[in-house]
Amino acid sequence: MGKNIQTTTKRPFLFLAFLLITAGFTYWSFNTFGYYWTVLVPNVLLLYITTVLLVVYVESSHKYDKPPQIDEFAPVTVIIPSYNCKDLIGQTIDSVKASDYPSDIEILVVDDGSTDGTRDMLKGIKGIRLVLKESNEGKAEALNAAIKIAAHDYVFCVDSDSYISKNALRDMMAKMLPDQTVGAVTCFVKVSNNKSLLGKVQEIEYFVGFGFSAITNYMLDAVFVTPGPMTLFRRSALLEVGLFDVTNITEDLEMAWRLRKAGYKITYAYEAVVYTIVPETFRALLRQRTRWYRGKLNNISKHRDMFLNPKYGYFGMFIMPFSLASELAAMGTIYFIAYMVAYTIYWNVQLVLAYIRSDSLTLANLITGLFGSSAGIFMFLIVVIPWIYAIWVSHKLGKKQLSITDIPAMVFFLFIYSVFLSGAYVYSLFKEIYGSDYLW
Amino acid sequence: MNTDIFLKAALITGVLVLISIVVGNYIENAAYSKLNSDLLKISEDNEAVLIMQSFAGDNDTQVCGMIESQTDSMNGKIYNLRSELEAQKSTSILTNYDLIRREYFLANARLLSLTKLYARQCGGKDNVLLFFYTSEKECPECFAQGRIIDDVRARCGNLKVFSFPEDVDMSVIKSFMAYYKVSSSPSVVVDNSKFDVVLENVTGADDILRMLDCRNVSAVSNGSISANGTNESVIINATVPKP
Repeated sequence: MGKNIQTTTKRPFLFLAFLLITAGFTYWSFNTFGYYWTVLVPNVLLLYITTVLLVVYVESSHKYDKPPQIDEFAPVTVIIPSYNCKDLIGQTIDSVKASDYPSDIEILVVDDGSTDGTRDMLKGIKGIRLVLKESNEGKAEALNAAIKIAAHDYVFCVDSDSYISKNALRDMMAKMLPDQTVGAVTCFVKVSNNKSLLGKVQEIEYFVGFGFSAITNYMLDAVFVTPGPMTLFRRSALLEVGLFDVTNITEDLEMAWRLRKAGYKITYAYEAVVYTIVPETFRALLRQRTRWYRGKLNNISKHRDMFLNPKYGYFGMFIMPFSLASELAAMGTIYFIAYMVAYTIYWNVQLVLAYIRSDSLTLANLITGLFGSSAGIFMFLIVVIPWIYAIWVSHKLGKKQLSITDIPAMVFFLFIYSVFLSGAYVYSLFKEIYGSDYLW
Repeated sequence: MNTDIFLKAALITGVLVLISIVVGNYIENAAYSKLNSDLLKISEDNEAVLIMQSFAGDNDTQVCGMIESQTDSMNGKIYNLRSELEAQKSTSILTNYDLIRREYFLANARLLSLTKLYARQCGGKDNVLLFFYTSEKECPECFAQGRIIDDVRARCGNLKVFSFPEDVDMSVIKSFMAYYKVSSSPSVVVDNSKFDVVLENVTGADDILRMLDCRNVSAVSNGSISANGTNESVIINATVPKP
């Protein structure tokens, strides 16, 4: 929601030192153990992490507790922070109004200083409570302002570019009401703009993240994020922990960790669905993921007392450390790819020069040189197979039938998108170490 | 906290890694076995020629036809086997190719010796090309020269090519290098009735073809052998023509 949150102190020497150490270690490892054995280690680690989640899914998913029948539902407030979203927020509000929730719904829209006519549009919508902030101060500030004035004890925070399923409010409240220790309820986030290849690929990613991973985290009592598109909160829990951190670029992640620290449970209702818009260009996607990953690194640092702390169960002992480990493993893969790309460029330049010097530059020679032999990748295939199962399970949970037309997106997701995400991890890590400004 | 899931996952991961190693090993072994089998056949053929030559005696030209056809056929097979062998070596992660490579180069050296024997005993007019390259570290120039030699082979009907890595510690290879005065790679040695030269750095196909006495050579551009220069091929030990 449109503003630099904070500038930071730049650390160029730390950045250079980190780059030299990690690149040097990678180079040493390649030369000592060879390329394939070096890359094998992070791949085995990734395989192990995926296998843990698969074991949890196979053993525990049948014990998942569906939203129970509730006799009486409490009234709720649905908070929608808005900023320059006049083309989308109407759909969000309509989806809330169309909900089958059997009690009162207060729709509280907080406009955070829009300049594109959103405010005027909102003034014309009936059935909402509108708060107009004078200036743009960010999503967290807008949410906090709304939470303070919300009329009811249970608040849904819904993004203005998202719309909810008809049953979402009811099923999520059914998970909240019976258990007073629940501080938040999460749901299945799906992609609404899934027409392009990048949209379809992210749709698969969200199915896996909010389907398979979310349910396994839930069965471990280790749900680690209260996603921005939609989460239900117990208002008293939010007030107790101090509302959203306005300086944090991933306030939804940070809130989840703070709630856990305060002893609240975070549950999950995959029956409840919110559809959200995802980036449609790689540039926008990189920007989003940089924010997410930097936010995670930042939050790990802020809440490092939870790291490997048995007090926080699977969350502290598995989800946090393995999440960090998988990102470091991805970094190893990126160094390998960067090394191979750099070496291939060097090789091809030398090859072309050799052909030119000997007057032997022909198309046939060039093609044979550029597409040389490829290495065996059985380890990679073994890692991919569990992921194919995870994708299938996720689509089953999300009630979407996989078809032959999904294959290109799946192939792209498994073999190319994963490399892009690994690159985004590395990029984010370096930005965090350098101390780049935090941007929304 | 239940630690069983971590142990089960570790076990499953271990099994999957083991499966991948077993499968990888099986495929590499299959490739290795095929190469080994091809090499064994070539070595047997080599021995057969040597046996017939010993049986017939130095002055007996009756075996010339057999030597010629055998060396022609073996040279093609052994030349193609080199590419396969080097490709397998570079992509293999579980199998050691050192021994089979050494056996290959020995077979290659024997064949070279048979080829020279044929030339002496039977008056053979084949062109012999020796190609020395670097195998233990990446050498784009060697790759380029290899491709050029493939082209030369395709264009010259009576050319026999023998490739040896200059950085493998084998006495027969070192001996050939000393004999022909080869000191760097890539280097190409042209040994025929007209020339006995070493071409260092990367040499173009036309330059090589001009030195060969080919039976059915494809178009070669007119012009002299390229002059020396820091970035061009260097000719040493040239004797034009051979006495």
